[in-house]
Amino acid sequence: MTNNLTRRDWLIGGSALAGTMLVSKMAAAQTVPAANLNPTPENPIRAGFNENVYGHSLKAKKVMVKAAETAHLYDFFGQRVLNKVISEMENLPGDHIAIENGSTPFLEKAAFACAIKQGKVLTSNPTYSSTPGTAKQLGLEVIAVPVDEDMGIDLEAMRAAMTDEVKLVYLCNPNNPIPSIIEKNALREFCIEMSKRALVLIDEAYYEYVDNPDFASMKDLVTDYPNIIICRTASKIHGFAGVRIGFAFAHPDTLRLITGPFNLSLSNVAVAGAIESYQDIEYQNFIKQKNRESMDILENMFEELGVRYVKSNSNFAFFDAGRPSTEVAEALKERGILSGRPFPPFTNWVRMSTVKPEEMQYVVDVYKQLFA
Amino acid sequence: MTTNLTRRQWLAGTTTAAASSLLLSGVKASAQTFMAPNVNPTAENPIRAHLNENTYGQSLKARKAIADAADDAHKYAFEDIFKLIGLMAKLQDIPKEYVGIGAGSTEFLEKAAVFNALDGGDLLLPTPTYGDIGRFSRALGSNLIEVPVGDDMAINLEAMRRAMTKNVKLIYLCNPNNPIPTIIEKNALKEFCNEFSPQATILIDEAYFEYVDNPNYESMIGLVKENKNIIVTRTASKIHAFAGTRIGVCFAHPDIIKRMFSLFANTLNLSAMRGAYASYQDFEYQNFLKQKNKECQKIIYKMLDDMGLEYKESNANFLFFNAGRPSSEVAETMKKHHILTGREFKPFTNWVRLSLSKPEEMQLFADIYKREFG
Ligand SMILES: Cc1ncc(COP(=O)(O)O)c(C=O)c1O
Ligand SMILES: Cc1ncc(COP(=O)(O)O)c(C=O)c1O
Repeated sequence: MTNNLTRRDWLIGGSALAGTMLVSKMAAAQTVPAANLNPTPENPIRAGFNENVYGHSLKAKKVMVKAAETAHLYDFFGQRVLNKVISEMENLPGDHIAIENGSTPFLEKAAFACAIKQGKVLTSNPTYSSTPGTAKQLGLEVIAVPVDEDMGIDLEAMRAAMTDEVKLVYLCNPNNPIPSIIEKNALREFCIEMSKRALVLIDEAYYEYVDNPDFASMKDLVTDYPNIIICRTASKIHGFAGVRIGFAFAHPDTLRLITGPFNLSLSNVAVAGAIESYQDIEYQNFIKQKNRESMDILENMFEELGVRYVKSNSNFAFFDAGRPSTEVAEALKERGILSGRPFPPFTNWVRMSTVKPEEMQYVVDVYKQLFA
Repeated sequence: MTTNLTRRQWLAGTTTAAASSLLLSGVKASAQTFMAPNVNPTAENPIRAHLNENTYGQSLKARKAIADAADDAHKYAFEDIFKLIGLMAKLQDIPKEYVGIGAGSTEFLEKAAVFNALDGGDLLLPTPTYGDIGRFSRALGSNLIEVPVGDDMAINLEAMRRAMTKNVKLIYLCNPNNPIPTIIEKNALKEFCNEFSPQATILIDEAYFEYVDNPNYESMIGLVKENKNIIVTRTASKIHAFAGTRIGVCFAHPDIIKRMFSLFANTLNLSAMRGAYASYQDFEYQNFLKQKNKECQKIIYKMLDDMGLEYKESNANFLFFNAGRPSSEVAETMKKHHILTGREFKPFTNWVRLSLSKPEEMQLFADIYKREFG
């Protein structure tokens, strides 16, 4: 199947499905699969939250509509099926995999686990704020090591900042808001070394988007090193941000620290959808390709305007707008385009999530009009 | 709209999608368990009287809201939680800073256990009771002080008072209790809460709150409003039939709420929130279920009275009765007839927990039970 065909499938399939739903919102049926080229403040282009604006795999969507019919029952069986799917896909033992409502619960509970040991958290700055933010709320000290001159996570500086009081090391790879990656061999060595002294959590939320020979998932470390945790999420390439499925890979004893006694807390609908979505490779390839197309549009603009940016390994870009990002965000918002919030200390840098290529082109045109 | 009409509507809406969906979602049950009474249970499609679910399924208004939400579910749901918090605050007449929403009430039980472990406290709780908070506390290394229920099988506040120590920083009270559907007398409970909440956080799990129809019962949400160190948890899993959808609500002082929820905890399912928003406003649906629950209770009470079996009057959507033989034996026998009953609850190994599913199904249970054990 060619990509063109795939996309046409999307557009057709999207509206057909919506029509059969209990009550369909025709407006939504069109805006979800099709590009939004007349954005307004009420119906904006959402380039602010690193979501997958294409929505779910149709296969997942179909199953979820049906699973809603049994959403009044507790279901433990579906979780086991999902566990098995991921276990086979990732080549990890099933007892090394936990499922939650997105990866956030794991990121938060890792901070809790650190707090119980009254430890400090070591991380980079800037990075995704869930773990360090929760730790701060719990009154823990967070050692946030600035990124290096290339804006990559600085493992050397982190190593130097490591102390015996640190009980949790949080690394986001690819990082967010800076879509950089950590070189795989250096990272592996760092994880093994640090795991002798603390829990090491690698947040691989954007894993599926990476296309870089220097990148590797650290998932295979979890069978040998009980202090290493890998987090993944269905919120990004699978479009499950509002559905909520995430994974942690770790030794069963470590998983017990960051999950409940047994997980009652999963939505049947989400579980059923994830089972389909993770097996829908064609859909994931389609999203990756669309992401690449959109990223090319953005990066071409950066080149054309001579704007400094970090090569993206993810579904968002980070660039130096040469003016406060809040100013950019406000001007874009007036034209119905949402972009990322400020990320100090990079207050002149803008995080822009990819949207559909047609929408991305629209964003670029508006940006040039405003700021070129 | 009369209840009969409502019920007919229910039945009408059922058959189509249900059969295939149950298989797809992995729940080993099928069309019959969904809304229409299952009077011909099979091994694949048993009567589910074991997990205190609401087998009528969700309010039609909730289902519509959930279906409508599907097209938005790839987005992070930032605003919906505030809408739902606002609704809960309004329904309970409490400021919205006192409200938290979770993926089921299990989330609050876990968080309370974590905070207690952080504070290095012991957990005081009755036994038997709902086990989640105890299990999680144990996994975190906390010490548990378990106080057996009284001779009346109700939670024994006097004994708990005596068992209280300085190290206890969290007290768990499930009201109505589970697996024994007793309640704690409201004035005694208030007094207990007032006495100990300065020293420990008291979590009152009111999962079955909506089913209670007893003048001696009162929700402790009033004490939350008085800024006591109390967490009241509720769930949409029971009367709202959200067990597999996941919405829970907790009420507590804003400081506790803040501690429980970090700034951007995007852990809630968008369609679940929209569904709950509709369901909590669908009073007709809730009344329908309460009435059905009463009908179920009557049928089983009659059976138990006929057979001279001991039981506790139920304040929830399940019964607890003394079968005079191991509950495991009852479970096995009833399973042969494709009726699932509750697991064993020590030390009451001769007592059976029976979830009240639908009157027609309960009548079938009663008929078979009498035949087998009468
Ligand atoms: C690095 C990173 N981790 C985790 C998350 C949150 O993911 P989830 O939706 O799985 O809770 C995000 C979302 O933006 C993220 O960027
Ligand atoms: C007393 C009690 N609390 C909490 C729960 C779990 O509820 P939820 O589905 O809201 O997580 C149950 C479920 O059986 C229960 O009986």
